[in-house]
Amino acid sequence: MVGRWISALRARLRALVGPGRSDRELNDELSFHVAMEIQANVASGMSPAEAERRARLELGGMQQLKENLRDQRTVPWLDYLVQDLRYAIRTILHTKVASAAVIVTFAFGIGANTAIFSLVNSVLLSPLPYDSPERIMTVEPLWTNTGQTNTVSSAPDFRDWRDQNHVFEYMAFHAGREVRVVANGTPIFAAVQLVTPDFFSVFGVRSFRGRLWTEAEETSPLAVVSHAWASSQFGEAASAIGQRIEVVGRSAEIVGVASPGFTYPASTDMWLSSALIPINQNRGGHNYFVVGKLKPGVGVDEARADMRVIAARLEQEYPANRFKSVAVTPMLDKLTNRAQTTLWLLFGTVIGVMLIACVNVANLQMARAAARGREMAVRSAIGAGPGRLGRQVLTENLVLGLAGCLVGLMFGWFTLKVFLAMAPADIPRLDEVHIDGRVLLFTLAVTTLCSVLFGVGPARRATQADMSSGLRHQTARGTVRGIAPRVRSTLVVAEVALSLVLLVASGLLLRSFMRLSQVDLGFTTERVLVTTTSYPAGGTEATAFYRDLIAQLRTIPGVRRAAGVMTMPFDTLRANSGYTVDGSPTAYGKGEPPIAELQIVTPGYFDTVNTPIRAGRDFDDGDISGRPQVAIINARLAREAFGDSNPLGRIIRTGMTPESKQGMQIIGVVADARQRSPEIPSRPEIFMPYLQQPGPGSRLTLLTQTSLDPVLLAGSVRETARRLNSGVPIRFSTMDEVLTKALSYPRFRTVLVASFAVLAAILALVGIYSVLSYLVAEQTSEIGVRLALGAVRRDIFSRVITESMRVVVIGLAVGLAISLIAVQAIDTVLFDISSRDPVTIAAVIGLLAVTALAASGIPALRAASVDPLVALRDE
Amino acid sequence: MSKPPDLMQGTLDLLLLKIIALAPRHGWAISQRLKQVSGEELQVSDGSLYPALHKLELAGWITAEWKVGELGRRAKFYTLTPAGRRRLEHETEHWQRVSSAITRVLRLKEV
Repeated sequence: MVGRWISALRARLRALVGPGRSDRELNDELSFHVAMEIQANVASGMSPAEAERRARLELGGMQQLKENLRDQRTVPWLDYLVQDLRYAIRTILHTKVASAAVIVTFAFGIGANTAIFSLVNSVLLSPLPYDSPERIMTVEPLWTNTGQTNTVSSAPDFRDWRDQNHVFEYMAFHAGREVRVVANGTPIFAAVQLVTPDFFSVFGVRSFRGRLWTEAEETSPLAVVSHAWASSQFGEAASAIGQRIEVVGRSAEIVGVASPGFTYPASTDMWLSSALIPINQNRGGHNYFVVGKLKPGVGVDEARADMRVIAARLEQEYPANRFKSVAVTPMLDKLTNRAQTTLWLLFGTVIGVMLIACVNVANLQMARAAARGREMAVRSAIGAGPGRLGRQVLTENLVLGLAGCLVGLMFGWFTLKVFLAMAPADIPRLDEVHIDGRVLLFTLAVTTLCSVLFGVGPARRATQADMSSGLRHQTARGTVRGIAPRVRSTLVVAEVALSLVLLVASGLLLRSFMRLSQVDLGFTTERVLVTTTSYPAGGTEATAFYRDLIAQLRTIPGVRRAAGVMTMPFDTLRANSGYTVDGSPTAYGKGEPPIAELQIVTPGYFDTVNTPIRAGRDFDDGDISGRPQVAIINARLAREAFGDSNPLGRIIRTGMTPESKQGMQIIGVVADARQRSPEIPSRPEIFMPYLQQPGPGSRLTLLTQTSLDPVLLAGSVRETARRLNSGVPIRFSTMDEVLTKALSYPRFRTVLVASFAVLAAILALVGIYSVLSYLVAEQTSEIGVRLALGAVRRDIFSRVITESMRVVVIGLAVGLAISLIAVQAIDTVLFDISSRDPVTIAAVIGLLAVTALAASGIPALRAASVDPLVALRDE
Repeated sequence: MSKPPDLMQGTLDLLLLKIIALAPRHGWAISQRLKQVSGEELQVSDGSLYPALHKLELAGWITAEWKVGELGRRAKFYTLTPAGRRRLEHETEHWQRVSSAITRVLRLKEV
């Protein structure tokens, strides 16, 4: 059987690829026949001329025979395809407006889909650009009492995990921030990461030049720099090897340059050995991000089980590990965790937009098909089979779809650029976002599917109308009346329902964002200049620098207040630790270890950010080393640990530093402030004075409250700092910018979902308008008759409006039902508003109803202004 | 020259397959052999011979090969493929069933 197909295929292919050769063979075959016949005829006694005449006659018309044979050998569908294409393009050009409407509608849907799918594809779906990325895991403490993971781990825990597990090939930790680095004699900020030697093995990174350090060298001050940083600092990556740089006041040697493109985490400039930054050896001090590479063939569940056994053992062994288990998460999930909700939400929205676009296309195609009913009937009457007509409709729709796809891709590319410009910088892997083969394939698949489903289906329905009625009708349309109005009404219902769902979602996001923007943060962001510096040395030398600098900043004209803080609001990396209060062993009763966020501030911090002090006093210049240790707590901690009793004067202890372990007297209570995020209510928090905590107090961010635009003061602040020490790098920002950045995720999704919902609503309104216009145009003669028989124009108008609003109301009801169920999916990203918020839903329904009314008004007016004479003459 | 009555649909294919099955031949030889065996009764016009041959070739029942024939000229020789052989058997059997059925009907005596 297969052999038969092969030889048949060969014969056809020969005809297709070499028509010249196959023609010649045909010639040869036939002329051989003629020659043989002549010879036979001559042998039987004919004259040569007669013999040839008879031979040719016998064969029939030579030329016609050749034509027949040739036809048999070519591939007819290819001919038909060319013909269909030519015909499709001619039809499309002939009906420019309708075709443009289809193309533009498709382009909107496809463009939106392409842009969002590019984001989803690059951020969520593509594997991480490392060696065996599926084996790379993050390992974090998991508090069994709260179910929360902790992101950062303690160094002793890490060591036990690494040494006792059976599932990881490599395990490493990293921790870092932007610090002062002196390269080529210039102090600059660089993103550094303290890493353990196996860090590079986890990611399968090799050195591009030089080498990576080994476990034995961990105690030497060594650095590996990123390819990009090496190139920008030393011109050529290779010349970085052997250079000495100054990092956090210590000298380090660059031994290697990492392979180009590797900058994990985020955009790190250099990785340092632990000799450069002392490691916190406290089991309760969580500072380090642990990453690991599973052994080949080990599953995530197996790894979890193995690690939990170790954690359970540690829990028995150390009091600090109480309730501390361990979580193992694939790194891709961890990295994209926050972006996932937003991106899937956007993806759902654009699919809604695409569906509405498709419904519109279906509508337009039905109208076109109806208008061409007569043409189809004629073609069918002169012999085009239903298959042939169907194929032509298919070709036409595919051509339209592909044109829409092309325009849509351009639109999508442009939209993607806009998205990337406004996307939150902390969406991971944004630099990897691009339109790749998978995106193109996705777009093409969507286009083809939609063209076939929503273009051919309706058009086929229209062409199936029987040809005799199509021919008999005088007007071009009319053949599809009877089926089409109901189908089209259904389409309008679908459009209204879908756009209601999208508008409800975007309305909720909008209201949620407005509430989020107005939430009482507990501190001010207005007119506060943020100055980031990095002092070359640590300890008391650094705190002295900050003390002097703050004092001098206060003398700058325009500065109202100045202070310093260790962890900026909304910084994701925040110190926390368990705490105890002397005399209240069971502050929490349930045996949970109370956890507090830890913060180091200078005197005057609360005034500078306008956080009111509820009781007691602020820190002052007397709270220095050697004096009694003091602390300020926030209202939440006061409430949770002390209830109604007075916390002032009580002693509180935390495990952050040796000083804080010895116990600190509570001297004040401040109002709660949303430190983590505007969305998250404040947690219990302990503030400590920087001069009593020289370790963590040696790296502060300075805040300056000004009476002018804070940016105007940047110059004088820089000068003041330089006068004190010319070796500190300085960078500026404002508290408003910090807040803007913190709100970038909700803003991004709100703006995008709202834009798409508005686009969807516009498409839906255009759909309602075009369906009604078409129905009115179709009924022109009927309306003419009614008017001629004495109908009142106002009745005609209200009849059209009623008809359309009936459909719209059904759509709204269906949409409402879907909204109540589907929109719950966004509950997790809503702030302070329910996904069933009646005000929002009512407002959206009202808005949609009014605009739908307006959209039906124009066709209704047109119906009411029909001239009965003209209408009847048309018929 | 008047055309002989058209052969029954599909019968020409069967005849051609059979003749080619006997030995690979070129078109003229097939035509001659057909005339020779069946006499004038089943004369096939050369004008319908070649389309039929090409159709069989495209269907994969026979394949063609260029070889030097009589007169020292290149001629296209047709050979049966294995699939063509099965087809021939199937068609032959079919023909025999149909023709014997027809014969039985024709033998019925008029009353």
